[in-house]
Amino acid sequence: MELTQKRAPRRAPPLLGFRQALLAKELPEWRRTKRLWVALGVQMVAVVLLVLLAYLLADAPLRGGRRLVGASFRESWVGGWAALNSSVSLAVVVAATMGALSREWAEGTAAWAFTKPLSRSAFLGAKLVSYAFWTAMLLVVPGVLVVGSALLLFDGFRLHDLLLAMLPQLLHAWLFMACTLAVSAWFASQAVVGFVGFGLLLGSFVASPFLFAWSRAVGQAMPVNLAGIAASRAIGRTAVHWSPVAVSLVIIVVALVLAQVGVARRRF
Amino acid sequence: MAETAIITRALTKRYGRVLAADQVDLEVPVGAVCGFIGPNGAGKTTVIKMLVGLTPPTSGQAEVLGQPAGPGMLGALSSLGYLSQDPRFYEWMTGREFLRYTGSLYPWAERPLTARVGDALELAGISDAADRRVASYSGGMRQRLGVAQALMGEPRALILDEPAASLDPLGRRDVIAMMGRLRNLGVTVFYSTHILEDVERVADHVCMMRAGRLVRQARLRDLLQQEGSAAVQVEVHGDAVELIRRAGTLDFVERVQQDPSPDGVARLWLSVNDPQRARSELPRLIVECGLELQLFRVGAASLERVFLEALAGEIDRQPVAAGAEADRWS
Repeated sequence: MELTQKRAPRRAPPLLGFRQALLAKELPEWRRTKRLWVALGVQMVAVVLLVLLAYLLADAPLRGGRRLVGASFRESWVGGWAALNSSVSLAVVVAATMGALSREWAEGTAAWAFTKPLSRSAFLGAKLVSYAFWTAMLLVVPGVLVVGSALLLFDGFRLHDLLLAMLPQLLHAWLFMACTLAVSAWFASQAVVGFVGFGLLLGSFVASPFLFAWSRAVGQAMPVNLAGIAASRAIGRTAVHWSPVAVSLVIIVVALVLAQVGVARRRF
Repeated sequence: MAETAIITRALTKRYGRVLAADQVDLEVPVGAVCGFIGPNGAGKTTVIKMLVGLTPPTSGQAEVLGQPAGPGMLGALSSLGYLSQDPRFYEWMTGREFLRYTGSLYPWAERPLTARVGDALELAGISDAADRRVASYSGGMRQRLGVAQALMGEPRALILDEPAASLDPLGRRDVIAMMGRLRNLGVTVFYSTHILEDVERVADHVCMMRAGRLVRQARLRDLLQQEGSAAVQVEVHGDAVELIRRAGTLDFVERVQQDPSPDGVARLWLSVNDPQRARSELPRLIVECGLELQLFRVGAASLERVFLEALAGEIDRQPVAAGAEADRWS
């Protein structure tokens, strides 16, 4: 084997190795492991049940195979969809993300990566982009099925309303992805990360009514209301409360800063 | 270009109350194969972790190939290859994919990635298993893959932590041969091991650690010459205190050491600079001390002997009570 004088950078850029980590490791890992398929499978089963049950049980006349549903059915149905996304989908996101960094700490693969010319910011950045992408896929693929089915089987839905309704749902999913990622940057135990991640998810539902009762303004600003925004949007109500969106974005930024600090401080 | 590939100055690492590395001043010349030896818990892996940036030193400094080493010091990491004691991989990748990923992290390497992957697979002897998932690899194959990934960046320095630990004799021989070939290519190899026989076969430098301290570093040849042109092994029946005292006064005896021994048998090691005089005078001295000679053997100093002397504490012509410290080996 020939060895030659290297031209390695003396001062490494902060995202050294990002592209390689993203394309060769992070993006393919989801596809090549069971994570994506299990998560997507759970999502698909849930949305198929949602659509089929609604179609079969709806008390509405049929015309050309479509149910002629009224406003109250549409409102309940999108409420069900939003509830599905803010429970099953978010649980799936937490489950899929809880090993993002903790597994790398526990299995020693991060220690391997950090002895290569791969900056820790690039390591985290590649993971973040990959998880954001696949989390979006976990929402979009079943979402497309829901939207397609709704347009095909029920009367009265509008395509752009349903598509826009997916945006707050996506933000909600990214919020929990970012929080779980941040926790997993600090703990090597997936059990601990899962406990905190699912605890946050459950806690947000439990705490929301109390916050609402304490202060309506504070309650409305909580990210848990993103599901309500999605449901409103899906039935064509355009008035949007922006405060849960803003609060979610702030929490995401804080979570990512915490994740970066956790990764940078990790010792082996 | 730096003449010293690896250099540390007062490198110290403390974990709470445990001093894992204490003021370590290492110097490994460019192009050397340096065996880094010491008993379990001596601090070898801690020093290596500091060199490859896995943990920061509590104090002190380290440089690899003229670049500061430590967490986030990517300049140093760009020029070195590292194999950990217990190499870990992404199990879902195939061996080839893992090497491609590793190699892609060194985009400045001169040769194309595919050629580097092919060479590394061949050198490590895992070409046949290259397209199998790493999850299906045996322990030995993983170690070989670990060696291969360390070479993917065409490194100028290799740091290997127990590279032959889980290899069979054939694999061990291959790793030793590989280190020899890399030396011929000008690559510095710094590797920790418990297998002193391998060090004698391939290393030209040796660094010895004990209890977090660097107790000796030298060229292997110099070390063996300096540390006694001959070692005399003596076993006698009876109390050897008088023998140790009188042997320590002889001008050709450099040091005397007593190893722990079974009841009634004293086992001594003497470093001597005149083997002829040792052969003629020591048996007589033993008889004069009223001891029954069981074993008397004169041989060239081995690395093992030098190593054990360095670890067990020198007596230097001073009598010592039985029970010299024995470091645990595994």
